[in-house]
Amino acid sequence: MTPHRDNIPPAQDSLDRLLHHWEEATPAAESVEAEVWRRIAAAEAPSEAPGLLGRIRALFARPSFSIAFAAACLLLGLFLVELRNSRQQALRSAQLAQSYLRIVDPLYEPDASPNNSQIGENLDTLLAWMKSDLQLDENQLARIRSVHEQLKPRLLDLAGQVAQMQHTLAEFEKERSSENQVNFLEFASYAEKRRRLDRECNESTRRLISEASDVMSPEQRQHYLNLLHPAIKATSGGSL
Amino acid sequence: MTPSPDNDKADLHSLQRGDDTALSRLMARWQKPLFAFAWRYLHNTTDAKDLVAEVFVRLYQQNQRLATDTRLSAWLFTILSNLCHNHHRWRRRHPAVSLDAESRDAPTTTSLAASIPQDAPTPDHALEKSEAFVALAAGMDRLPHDLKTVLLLHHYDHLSYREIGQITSCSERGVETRLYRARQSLRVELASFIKETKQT
Repeated sequence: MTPHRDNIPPAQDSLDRLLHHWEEATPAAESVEAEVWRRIAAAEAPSEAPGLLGRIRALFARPSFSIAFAAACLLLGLFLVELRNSRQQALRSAQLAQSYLRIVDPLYEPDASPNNSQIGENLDTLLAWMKSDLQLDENQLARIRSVHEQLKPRLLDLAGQVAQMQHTLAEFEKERSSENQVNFLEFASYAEKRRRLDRECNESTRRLISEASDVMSPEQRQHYLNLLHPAIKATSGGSL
Repeated sequence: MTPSPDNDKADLHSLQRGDDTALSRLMARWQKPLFAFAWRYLHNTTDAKDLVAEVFVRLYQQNQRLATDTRLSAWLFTILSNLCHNHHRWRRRHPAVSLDAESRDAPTTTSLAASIPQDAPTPDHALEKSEAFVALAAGMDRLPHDLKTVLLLHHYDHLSYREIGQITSCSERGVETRLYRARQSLRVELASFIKETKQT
Protein backbone atom coordinates (compact mmCIF):
# COMPACT_ATOMS: atom_id res chain seq x y z
CA MET A 1 0.00 0.00 0.00
CA THR A 2 1.71 3.18 -1.17
CA PRO A 3 1.20 6.53 0.56
CA HIS A 4 0.17 9.04 -2.02
CA ARG A 5 1.28 11.97 0.03
CA ASP A 6 3.19 12.82 3.18
CA ASN A 7 1.56 12.56 6.55
CA ILE A 8 1.16 16.32 6.68
CA PRO A 9 0.10 17.69 3.33
CA PRO A 10 1.93 20.75 2.19
CA ALA A 11 -1.15 22.84 1.59
CA GLN A 12 -3.29 22.22 4.62
CA ASP A 13 -6.52 23.97 5.26
CA SER A 14 -8.23 24.19 8.66
CA LEU A 15 -10.14 20.95 8.18
CA ASP A 16 -6.96 19.11 7.24
CA ARG A 17 -5.23 20.42 10.33
CA LEU A 18 -8.12 19.33 12.52
CA LEU A 19 -8.16 15.89 10.93
CA HIS A 20 -4.42 15.63 11.37
CA HIS A 21 -4.57 16.52 15.07
CA TRP A 22 -7.34 13.96 15.57
CA GLU A 23 -5.00 11.31 14.23
CA GLU A 24 -2.71 11.92 17.18
CA ALA A 25 -5.59 11.27 19.54
CA THR A 26 -6.01 7.68 18.31
CA PRO A 27 -5.36 5.28 21.22
CA ALA A 28 -2.53 2.80 20.91
CA ALA A 29 -3.56 -0.51 19.38
CA GLU A 30 -3.55 -3.46 21.76
CA SER A 31 -2.48 -6.82 20.39
CA VAL A 32 -5.39 -8.91 19.18
CA GLU A 33 -3.29 -12.01 18.49
CA ALA A 34 -4.29 -13.97 21.60
CA GLU A 35 -7.97 -13.19 21.02
CA VAL A 36 -7.72 -14.22 17.36
CA TRP A 37 -6.19 -17.61 18.18
CA ARG A 38 -8.76 -18.15 20.95
CA ARG A 39 -11.63 -17.52 18.52
CA ILE A 40 -10.09 -19.75 15.87
CA ALA A 41 -9.72 -22.57 18.41
CA ALA A 42 -13.29 -22.06 19.62
CA ALA A 43 -14.63 -22.11 16.07
CA GLU A 44 -12.76 -25.29 15.20
CA ALA A 45 -13.64 -27.22 18.39
CA PRO A 46 -17.41 -27.63 17.92
CA SER A 47 -17.08 -28.04 14.19
CA GLU A 48 -17.20 -31.87 14.45
CA ALA A 49 -20.92 -32.23 15.21
CA PRO A 50 -22.20 -29.67 12.67
CA GLY A 51 -19.83 -31.23 10.16
CA LEU A 52 -21.35 -34.62 10.66
CA LEU A 53 -24.86 -33.20 10.60
CA GLY A 54 -23.96 -31.23 7.53
CA ARG A 55 -22.76 -34.35 5.77
CA ILE A 56 -25.97 -36.18 6.70
CA ARG A 57 -28.05 -33.27 5.47
CA ALA A 58 -26.06 -33.19 2.26
CA LEU A 59 -26.66 -36.91 1.76
CA PHE A 60 -30.41 -36.58 2.23
CA ALA A 61 -30.49 -33.55 -0.02
CA ARG A 62 -29.71 -35.93 -2.89
CA PRO A 63 -33.03 -37.35 -4.17
CA SER A 64 -31.44 -40.63 -5.23
CA PHE A 65 -30.13 -41.24 -1.71
CA SER A 66 -33.44 -40.23 -0.09
CA ILE A 67 -35.40 -42.60 -2.32
CA ALA A 68 -32.91 -45.42 -1.77
CA PHE A 69 -33.00 -44.85 1.99
CA ALA A 70 -36.82 -44.85 2.07
CA ALA A 71 -36.92 -48.03 -0.05
CA ALA A 72 -34.37 -49.70 2.22
CA CYS A 73 -36.42 -48.74 5.30
CA LEU A 74 -39.59 -50.14 3.66
CA LEU A 75 -37.88 -53.40 2.73
CA LEU A 76 -36.39 -53.71 6.20
CA GLY A 77 -39.84 -53.16 7.72
CA LEU A 78 -41.41 -55.78 5.47
CA PHE A 79 -38.58 -58.19 6.24
CA LEU A 80 -39.04 -57.70 9.99
CA VAL A 81 -42.82 -58.22 9.72
CA GLU A 82 -42.27 -61.34 7.65
CA LEU A 83 -39.66 -62.60 10.11
CA ARG A 84 -42.06 -62.03 13.01
CA ASN A 85 -44.89 -63.83 11.23
CA SER A 86 -42.59 -66.67 10.31
CA ARG A 87 -41.40 -67.08 13.90
CA GLN A 88 -44.97 -66.96 15.22
CA GLN A 89 -46.03 -69.53 12.67
CA ALA A 90 -43.10 -71.80 13.56
CA LEU A 91 -43.94 -71.46 17.25
CA ARG A 92 -47.59 -72.26 16.56
CA SER A 93 -46.59 -75.29 14.48
CA ALA A 94 -44.36 -76.55 17.29
CA GLN A 95 -47.23 -76.16 19.79
CA LEU A 96 -49.64 -78.02 17.51
CA ALA A 97 -47.06 -80.75 16.91
CA GLN A 98 -46.68 -81.19 20.66
CA SER A 99 -50.44 -81.29 21.08
CA TYR A 100 -50.66 -83.90 18.32
CA LEU A 101 -47.98 -85.97 20.02
CA ARG A 102 -49.94 -85.82 23.25
CA ILE A 103 -52.83 -87.43 21.44
CA VAL A 104 -50.96 -90.12 19.56
CA ASP A 105 -48.55 -91.10 22.36
CA PRO A 106 -50.09 -92.13 25.71
CA LEU A 107 -46.64 -92.02 27.29
CA TYR A 108 -45.99 -88.47 26.22
CA GLU A 109 -47.95 -87.06 29.13
CA PRO A 110 -48.60 -90.04 31.36
CA ASP A 111 -50.01 -88.06 34.27
CA ALA A 112 -52.71 -86.45 32.14
CA SER A 113 -56.10 -88.00 32.50
CA PRO A 114 -57.50 -88.22 29.00
CA ASN A 115 -60.95 -86.89 28.36
CA ASN A 116 -62.91 -88.11 25.37
CA SER A 117 -64.48 -84.81 24.46
CA GLN A 118 -61.19 -82.98 24.93
CA ILE A 119 -59.42 -85.50 22.73
CA GLY A 120 -62.15 -85.19 20.10
CA GLU A 121 -61.90 -81.38 20.02
CA ASN A 122 -58.16 -81.41 19.91
CA LEU A 123 -58.19 -84.03 17.19
CA ASP A 124 -60.44 -81.88 14.96
CA THR A 125 -58.23 -78.88 15.49
CA LEU A 126 -55.08 -80.86 14.83
CA LEU A 127 -56.47 -82.54 11.72
CA ALA A 128 -57.35 -79.12 10.36
CA TRP A 129 -53.78 -78.01 11.04
CA MET A 130 -52.36 -81.14 9.40
CA LYS A 131 -54.55 -80.59 6.33
CA SER A 132 -53.25 -77.04 5.99
CA ASP A 133 -49.64 -77.71 6.87
CA LEU A 134 -49.23 -80.96 4.94
CA GLN A 135 -51.49 -79.80 2.12
CA LEU A 136 -53.66 -82.91 2.38
CA ASP A 137 -56.58 -83.35 0.02
CA GLU A 138 -60.02 -84.27 1.25
CA ASN A 139 -59.53 -87.95 0.52
CA GLN A 140 -56.27 -88.13 2.44
CA LEU A 141 -57.79 -86.21 5.31
CA ALA A 142 -60.73 -88.58 5.47
CA ARG A 143 -58.46 -91.62 5.58
CA ILE A 144 -56.18 -90.08 8.20
CA ARG A 145 -59.21 -89.14 10.27
CA SER A 146 -60.37 -92.72 9.96
CA VAL A 147 -56.99 -94.08 11.13
CA HIS A 148 -57.07 -91.76 14.15
CA GLU A 149 -60.70 -92.54 14.96
CA GLN A 150 -60.01 -96.25 14.65
CA LEU A 151 -57.05 -96.22 17.02
CA LYS A 152 -58.45 -93.60 19.37
CA PRO A 153 -60.24 -96.08 21.74
CA ARG A 154 -57.12 -98.18 22.09
CA LEU A 155 -54.95 -95.09 22.70
CA LEU A 156 -57.41 -93.78 25.26
CA ASP A 157 -57.44 -97.13 27.01
CA LEU A 158 -53.65 -97.22 27.09
CA ALA A 159 -53.52 -93.65 28.36
CA GLY A 160 -55.92 -94.69 31.15
CA GLN A 161 -53.67 -97.61 32.03
CA VAL A 162 -50.63 -95.36 32.08
CA ALA A 163 -52.44 -93.03 34.45
CA GLN A 164 -53.37 -96.01 36.65
CA MET A 165 -49.77 -97.18 36.66
CA GLN A 166 -48.66 -93.72 37.70
CA HIS A 167 -51.12 -93.87 40.55
CA THR A 168 -49.82 -97.31 41.63
CA LEU A 169 -46.27 -95.99 41.54
CA ALA A 170 -47.30 -93.11 43.79
CA GLU A 171 -48.79 -95.67 46.22
CA PHE A 172 -45.51 -97.58 46.28
CA GLU A 173 -43.63 -94.37 46.98
CA LYS A 174 -46.06 -93.48 49.74
CA GLU A 175 -45.60 -96.88 51.33
CA ARG A 176 -41.84 -96.65 51.08
CA SER A 177 -41.69 -93.25 52.74
CA SER A 178 -44.18 -94.06 55.54
CA GLU A 179 -43.23 -97.68 56.39
CA ASN A 180 -39.68 -97.57 55.12
CA GLN A 181 -40.26 -100.79 53.22
CA VAL A 182 -41.68 -102.02 49.88
CA ASN A 183 -43.23 -105.30 48.91
CA PHE A 184 -40.67 -106.32 46.31
CA LEU A 185 -42.80 -109.05 44.79
CA GLU A 186 -45.62 -106.60 44.16
CA PHE A 187 -43.18 -103.99 42.85
CA ALA A 188 -41.52 -106.51 40.53
CA SER A 189 -44.94 -107.43 39.19
CA TYR A 190 -45.70 -103.69 38.73
CA ALA A 191 -42.45 -103.15 36.85
CA GLU A 192 -43.18 -106.03 34.52
CA LYS A 193 -46.68 -104.69 33.82
CA ARG A 194 -45.26 -101.23 33.22
CA ARG A 195 -42.70 -102.51 30.70
CA ARG A 196 -45.44 -104.38 28.87
CA LEU A 197 -47.66 -101.32 28.85
CA ASP A 198 -44.85 -99.12 27.51
CA ARG A 199 -44.25 -101.56 24.69
CA GLU A 200 -47.96 -101.57 23.82
CA CYS A 201 -48.07 -97.79 23.88
CA ASN A 202 -45.05 -97.47 21.59
CA GLU A 203 -46.46 -100.10 19.28
CA SER A 204 -49.84 -98.36 19.07
CA THR A 205 -48.25 -94.97 18.43
CA ARG A 206 -45.93 -96.37 15.75
CA ARG A 207 -48.87 -98.09 14.11
CA LEU A 208 -50.91 -94.89 14.03
CA ILE A 209 -48.05 -92.81 12.62
CA SER A 210 -47.22 -95.53 10.12
CA GLU A 211 -50.80 -95.90 8.90
CA ALA A 212 -51.23 -92.13 8.70
CA SER A 213 -47.94 -91.88 6.76
CA ASP A 214 -49.05 -94.50 4.30
CA VAL A 215 -51.86 -92.18 3.17
CA MET A 216 -49.39 -89.42 2.40
CA SER A 217 -47.07 -88.77 -0.51
CA PRO A 218 -43.33 -89.09 0.18
CA GLU A 219 -42.97 -85.28 0.56
CA GLN A 220 -45.94 -85.09 2.89
CA ARG A 221 -44.63 -88.03 4.88
CA GLN A 222 -41.21 -86.44 5.25
CA HIS A 223 -42.81 -83.20 6.39
CA TYR A 224 -45.09 -85.09 8.77
CA LEU A 225 -42.18 -86.90 10.44
CA ASN A 226 -40.18 -83.66 10.55
CA LEU A 227 -43.04 -81.97 12.37
CA LEU A 228 -43.13 -84.71 14.96
CA HIS A 229 -39.39 -84.87 15.35
CA PRO A 230 -38.83 -81.62 17.30
CA ALA A 231 -41.67 -82.45 19.64
CA ILE A 232 -40.21 -85.87 20.26
CA LYS A 233 -36.73 -84.49 20.83
CA ALA A 234 -37.95 -81.71 23.11
CA THR A 235 -39.62 -84.12 25.43
CA SER A 236 -37.52 -86.18 27.75
CA GLY A 237 -40.51 -88.44 28.37
CA GLY A 238 -40.93 -89.05 24.65
CA SER A 239 -41.00 -92.68 23.83
CA LEU A 240 -40.73 -92.68 20.06
CA MET B 1 2.09 2.83 6.81
CA THR B 2 4.22 1.07 4.26
CA PRO B 3 3.83 -2.70 4.69
CA SER B 4 5.29 -4.42 1.69
CA PRO B 5 2.77 -6.13 -0.64
CA ASP B 6 5.43 -8.74 -1.36
CA ASN B 7 5.62 -9.68 2.31
CA ASP B 8 1.84 -9.91 2.42
CA LYS B 9 1.82 -12.13 -0.63
CA ALA B 10 4.49 -14.41 0.81
CA ASP B 11 2.70 -14.67 4.15
CA LEU B 12 -0.64 -15.35 2.51
CA HIS B 13 0.99 -18.10 0.47
CA SER B 14 2.52 -19.58 3.64
CA LEU B 15 -0.84 -19.40 5.41
CA GLN B 16 -2.51 -21.18 2.54
CA ARG B 17 0.09 -23.95 2.84
CA GLY B 18 -0.79 -24.39 6.52
CA ASP B 19 1.88 -22.26 8.16
CA ASP B 20 -0.10 -20.64 11.00
CA THR B 21 2.80 -18.44 12.04
CA ALA B 22 2.19 -16.47 8.85
CA LEU B 23 -1.04 -15.23 10.41
CA SER B 24 0.92 -13.97 13.41
CA ARG B 25 3.21 -12.05 11.08
CA LEU B 26 0.24 -10.56 9.25
CA MET B 27 -1.35 -9.56 12.54
CA ALA B 28 1.85 -7.89 13.70
CA ARG B 29 1.96 -5.98 10.44
CA TRP B 30 -1.68 -4.97 10.06
CA GLN B 31 -3.38 -4.80 13.43
CA LYS B 32 -2.23 -1.24 14.14
CA PRO B 33 -3.59 0.41 10.96
CA LEU B 34 -6.73 -1.71 11.09
CA PHE B 35 -7.36 -0.81 14.72
CA ALA B 36 -6.82 2.88 13.98
CA PHE B 37 -9.36 2.72 11.14
CA ALA B 38 -11.91 0.89 13.27
CA TRP B 39 -11.44 3.24 16.21
CA ARG B 40 -11.93 6.32 14.04
CA TYR B 41 -15.00 4.73 12.52
CA LEU B 42 -16.60 3.58 15.80
CA HIS B 43 -14.92 5.77 18.46
CA ASN B 44 -14.84 2.75 20.73
CA THR B 45 -11.68 0.88 21.70
CA THR B 46 -13.35 -2.40 22.69
CA ASP B 47 -15.47 -2.59 19.56
CA ALA B 48 -12.53 -1.66 17.37
CA LYS B 49 -10.36 -4.37 18.87
CA ASP B 50 -13.19 -6.88 18.58
CA LEU B 51 -13.73 -6.18 14.88
CA VAL B 52 -10.02 -6.25 14.06
CA ALA B 53 -9.78 -9.66 15.73
CA GLU B 54 -12.77 -10.79 13.66
CA VAL B 55 -11.03 -9.68 10.45
CA PHE B 56 -8.03 -11.89 11.21
CA VAL B 57 -10.25 -14.82 12.18
CA ARG B 58 -11.98 -14.52 8.81
CA LEU B 59 -8.65 -14.30 7.06
CA TYR B 60 -7.62 -17.56 8.74
CA GLN B 61 -10.90 -19.28 7.93
CA GLN B 62 -11.18 -18.04 4.34
CA ASN B 63 -7.55 -17.98 3.28
CA GLN B 64 -8.00 -20.94 0.95
CA ARG B 65 -10.57 -18.99 -1.04
CA LEU B 66 -8.22 -16.10 -1.71
CA ALA B 67 -6.35 -15.98 -4.99
CA THR B 68 -2.59 -15.92 -4.65
CA ASP B 69 -2.44 -12.45 -6.23
CA THR B 70 -5.01 -10.99 -3.82
CA ARG B 71 -4.11 -7.51 -2.61
CA LEU B 72 -4.27 -8.42 1.07
CA SER B 73 -4.37 -4.85 2.36
CA ALA B 74 -7.44 -4.11 0.24
CA TRP B 75 -9.08 -7.36 1.38
CA LEU B 76 -8.44 -6.59 5.05
CA PHE B 77 -9.80 -3.04 4.83
CA THR B 78 -12.80 -4.20 2.80
CA ILE B 79 -13.76 -6.76 5.43
CA LEU B 80 -13.12 -4.33 8.26
CA SER B 81 -15.09 -1.46 6.71
CA ASN B 82 -18.04 -3.79 6.14
CA LEU B 83 -17.85 -5.05 9.72
CA CYS B 84 -17.68 -1.46 10.97
CA HIS B 85 -20.68 -0.52 8.85
CA ASN B 86 -22.74 -3.43 10.16
CA HIS B 87 -21.68 -2.78 13.72
CA HIS B 88 -22.45 0.92 13.46
CA ARG B 89 -25.95 0.19 12.14
CA TRP B 90 -26.49 -2.37 14.89
CA ARG B 91 -25.35 0.15 17.50
CA ARG B 92 -27.78 2.75 16.23
CA ARG B 93 -30.62 0.25 16.58
CA HIS B 94 -29.37 -0.98 19.99
CA PRO B 95 -28.03 2.07 21.83
CA ALA B 96 -25.78 1.27 24.79
CA VAL B 97 -23.63 3.21 27.21
CA SER B 98 -20.02 3.21 26.08
CA LEU B 99 -17.09 4.22 28.23
CA ASP B 100 -15.26 5.49 25.16
CA ALA B 101 -18.33 7.26 23.85
CA GLU B 102 -18.28 9.70 26.76
CA SER B 103 -16.00 11.89 24.74
CA ARG B 104 -18.76 12.59 22.26
CA ASP B 105 -21.28 13.73 24.80
CA ALA B 106 -19.16 15.18 27.58
CA PRO B 107 -16.36 17.31 26.24
CA THR B 108 -14.75 17.94 29.62
CA THR B 109 -14.38 14.33 30.81
CA THR B 110 -11.02 12.77 31.49
CA SER B 111 -11.21 10.44 28.48
CA LEU B 112 -11.53 13.48 26.31
CA ALA B 113 -8.51 15.06 27.98
CA ALA B 114 -6.50 12.11 26.82
CA SER B 115 -7.28 13.08 23.26
CA ILE B 116 -5.64 16.46 23.61
CA PRO B 117 -2.43 16.54 21.63
CA GLN B 118 0.65 16.80 23.79
CA ASP B 119 1.90 19.85 22.00
CA ALA B 120 -1.09 21.91 23.08
CA PRO B 121 0.24 25.30 24.06
CA THR B 122 -2.25 26.30 26.78
CA PRO B 123 -5.12 24.64 28.71
CA ASP B 124 -7.66 26.94 27.05
CA HIS B 125 -6.34 26.07 23.67
CA ALA B 126 -6.42 22.35 24.55
CA LEU B 127 -10.04 22.63 25.66
CA GLU B 128 -11.01 24.29 22.41
CA LYS B 129 -9.30 21.52 20.49
CA SER B 130 -10.93 18.81 22.53
CA GLU B 131 -14.31 20.34 21.80
CA ALA B 132 -13.34 20.41 18.18
CA PHE B 133 -12.43 16.72 18.30
CA VAL B 134 -15.78 15.91 19.85
CA ALA B 135 -17.51 17.83 17.10
CA LEU B 136 -15.32 16.15 14.50
CA ALA B 137 -16.11 12.71 15.87
CA ALA B 138 -19.82 13.54 15.90
CA GLY B 139 -19.65 14.91 12.35
CA MET B 140 -17.73 11.84 11.22
CA ASP B 141 -20.30 9.62 12.88
CA ARG B 142 -23.09 11.27 10.91
CA LEU B 143 -21.36 10.76 7.56
CA PRO B 144 -22.76 8.00 5.39
CA HIS B 145 -20.68 4.83 5.35
CA ASP B 146 -19.33 5.36 1.81
CA LEU B 147 -18.18 8.90 2.49
CA LYS B 148 -16.74 8.09 5.91
CA THR B 149 -14.76 5.10 4.62
CA VAL B 150 -13.27 7.11 1.78
CA LEU B 151 -12.38 9.99 4.10
CA LEU B 152 -10.71 7.77 6.71
CA LEU B 153 -8.74 5.73 4.18
CA HIS B 154 -7.63 8.90 2.42
CA HIS B 155 -6.69 11.03 5.40
CA TYR B 156 -5.37 8.49 7.86
CA ASP B 157 -4.28 5.47 5.88
CA HIS B 158 -2.98 7.62 3.06
CA LEU B 159 -4.24 5.37 0.30
CA SER B 160 -4.42 6.40 -3.31
CA TYR B 161 -7.76 6.85 -5.06
CA ARG B 162 -7.14 3.60 -6.91
CA GLU B 163 -6.56 1.65 -3.71
CA ILE B 164 -9.58 3.20 -2.03
CA GLY B 165 -11.58 2.34 -5.14
CA GLN B 166 -10.57 -1.31 -4.78
CA ILE B 167 -11.76 -1.36 -1.18
CA THR B 168 -15.02 0.50 -1.74
CA SER B 169 -15.73 -1.02 -5.18
CA CYS B 170 -15.76 2.40 -6.72
CA SER B 171 -13.97 4.19 -9.55
CA GLU B 172 -11.21 6.68 -8.88
CA ARG B 173 -13.53 9.46 -10.04
CA GLY B 174 -16.16 8.17 -7.63
CA VAL B 175 -13.64 8.18 -4.79
CA GLU B 176 -12.74 11.77 -5.57
CA THR B 177 -16.39 12.77 -5.56
CA ARG B 178 -17.08 11.01 -2.28
CA LEU B 179 -14.05 12.58 -0.68
CA TYR B 180 -15.19 16.03 -1.78
CA ARG B 181 -18.69 15.46 -0.44
CA ALA B 182 -17.35 14.11 2.84
CA ARG B 183 -15.11 17.13 3.35
CA GLN B 184 -17.91 19.50 2.43
CA SER B 185 -20.20 17.84 4.91
CA LEU B 186 -17.57 18.10 7.66
CA ARG B 187 -16.90 21.74 6.83
CA VAL B 188 -20.56 22.51 7.38
CA GLU B 189 -20.66 20.50 10.61
CA LEU B 190 -17.47 22.05 11.95
CA ALA B 191 -17.88 25.56 10.61
CA SER B 192 -17.44 27.26 13.97
CA PHE B 193 -14.37 25.19 14.94
CA ILE B 194 -12.72 25.67 11.57
CA LYS B 195 -13.03 29.42 12.00
CA GLU B 196 -11.46 29.18 15.43
CA THR B 197 -8.70 26.98 14.06
CA LYS B 198 -8.05 29.56 11.36
CA GLN B 199 -7.79 32.28 14.00
CA THR B 200 -5.35 30.20 16.07
